[in-house]
Amino acid sequence: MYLSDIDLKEAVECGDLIVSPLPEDEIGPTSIDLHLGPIEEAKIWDFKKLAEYNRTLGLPPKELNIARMTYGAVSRQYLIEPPREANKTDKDLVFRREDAIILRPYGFVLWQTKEVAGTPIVNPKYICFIDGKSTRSRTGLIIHLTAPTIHAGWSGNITLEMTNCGPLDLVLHVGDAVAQLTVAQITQPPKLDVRLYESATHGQTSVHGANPT
Amino acid sequence: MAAAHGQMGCKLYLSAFSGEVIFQVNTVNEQSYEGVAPKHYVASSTQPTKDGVDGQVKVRVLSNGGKEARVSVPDGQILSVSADKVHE
Repeated sequence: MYLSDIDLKEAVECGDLIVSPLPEDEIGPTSIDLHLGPIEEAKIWDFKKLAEYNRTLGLPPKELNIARMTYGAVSRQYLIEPPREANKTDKDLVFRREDAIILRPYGFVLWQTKEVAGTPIVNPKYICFIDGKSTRSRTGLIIHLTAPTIHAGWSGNITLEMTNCGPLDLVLHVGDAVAQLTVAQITQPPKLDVRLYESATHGQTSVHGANPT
Repeated sequence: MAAAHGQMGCKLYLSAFSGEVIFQVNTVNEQSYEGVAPKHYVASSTQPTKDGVDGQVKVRVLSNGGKEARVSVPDGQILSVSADKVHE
């Protein structure tokens, strides 16, 4: 059962739902708007550096073993800030102009939400889902690639995996409401409530590799 | 019965995002695992750096055989680690 605006507010007040800061004026009938965080939280992959690393291992430079990599290790080394407009080249599909990111067609950027969202670690009652906002989607903006679930018992800034499937260059500003959070009740608190068993994503956040054990 | 909450000793590194931290731990088969956790899942006496600092990450302890513990870390992975790293 999905929560309505009345239940969303009550859940936040009770501490069963975490949305901080809460955009009080942007709670819709069944969702809460989420906003782009500070410009420093926009990142792109340094594919050139990653390709060079692959070469040193004798691997095909453009290949990435996504189910075998450990996301934490890879992200620590290869996530970087997009270039400034003055330094960009024609090959750069994402670049920064003051407090905005320009996302050109097929560009891909990770950007965290301003809000911390999710549910408490102990006895979570809800599961949350991230989705785009329809008007933004109509321009070709994909806001969250295939990983919309915020599992019961997890909270944090949400990493949006954004790409531009449209023909125009999209300008994304700090604070833009680009995503929305919907919340559903779960039958009972899960047995494993930091994150669910074998739920590696991430993205998210997650974005996570295989169990190395 | 629900698994117990605990803390696991680890190395903490700066993440690309300010609200996240990278935690690193060696598993029982001596592999290094690096995962991502929101800041409020970790604790350390000094701020994480690029070179790493000693700290703790919140875990769910699925089993603890005395020598080896199986834990769920905040990014969803299940790891087998030396039990002396884990405090319930």
